[in-house]
Amino acid sequence: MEDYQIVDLYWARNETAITESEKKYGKMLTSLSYSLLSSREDAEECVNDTYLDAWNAMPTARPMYLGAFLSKITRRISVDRWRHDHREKRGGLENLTEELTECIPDVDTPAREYERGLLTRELNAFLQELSGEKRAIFLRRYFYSQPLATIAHELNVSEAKVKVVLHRLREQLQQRLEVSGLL
Amino acid sequence: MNVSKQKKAAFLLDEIGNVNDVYVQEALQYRNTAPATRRILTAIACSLLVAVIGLGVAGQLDAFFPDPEIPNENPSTYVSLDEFLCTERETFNCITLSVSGVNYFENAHLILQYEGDDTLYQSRALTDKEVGMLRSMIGNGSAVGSDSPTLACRVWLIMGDGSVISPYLSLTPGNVGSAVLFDYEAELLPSENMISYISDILNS
Repeated sequence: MEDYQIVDLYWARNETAITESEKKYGKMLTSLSYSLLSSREDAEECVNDTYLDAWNAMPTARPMYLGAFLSKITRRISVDRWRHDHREKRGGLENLTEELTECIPDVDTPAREYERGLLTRELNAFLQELSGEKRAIFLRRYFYSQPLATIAHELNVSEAKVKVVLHRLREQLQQRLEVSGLL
Repeated sequence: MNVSKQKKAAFLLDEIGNVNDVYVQEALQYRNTAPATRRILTAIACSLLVAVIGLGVAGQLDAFFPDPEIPNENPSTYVSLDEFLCTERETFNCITLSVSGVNYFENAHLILQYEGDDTLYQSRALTDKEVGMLRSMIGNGSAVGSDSPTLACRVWLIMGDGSVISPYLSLTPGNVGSAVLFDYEAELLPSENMISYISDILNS
């Protein structure tokens, strides 16, 4: 079923929308949540919460890309869950945060309020300039939290290449954020 | 690790979750194309196949091309969407808006801007079914040749969630606008089905 057809089911308050969403995206969402939480039970709970959030969001939302829409919900719920649980065990989220510190400039800057819209716009501009492959590598790592080996396998490249690309992209993003002064 | 830097990195990780939906969707679906040699061999095989079929039907080609001296006595469809929009303009059921009147986040709309109307747009609200149908048709048109046609009427489809697309463009990430009626050069020529559907919408 196409995304817009599933969205039509949500708008019609037809519960088949949940079933169809699960059929099309359930595995991907569970995988995303699990990579952040490292717990099958917690991941399944987060995915179930995702469908509830989506049900409540539509209408009025009418996303063009349902997969991205649901992924964002799952990611947010999973990140919040991880922080709420204050996990001490070193998990996927902590590793990602540590990697992303490389994007934060070392220069001391005056205290600023975090302007969320501006940073998102900067990230979108950064992503727009990348090739499709580099953008996929970056987002598979930092949005979908996929392991390097999985990214390499699914994009048919070597793991070494994924590491090098990510390292260079973090450097580029660091320079961009330094110039913009957003972080 | 510097605590402030860690907090900023956590913030950055959160904000990555808000990037454009198009990139998020594309990242999961992206696949590397076949290795170069396989692409070349595939291209050669396709070319040979086309040549064989072409030679086979060469003797039948005349049947498909009418005598150019005989005019088409019953033209029932317009040659292009642009021609239709310009010719039938006066019959459309649209409202006129200025750029500040365009709302990107409430309902879906079909937006037209005619050459010479620099600050005015023609807007037609769309039902959910209409926007779904139009959305499914976009990208199915034929590619333009080397010279992109000059459009007398630009067309956008406002989806109601901030995203903006056009029937003259393919649905690649770079062709999806965000809360803006962006300028563009046509990449595709909308199909006859789309012209017919837009005609039904604008005249209803």
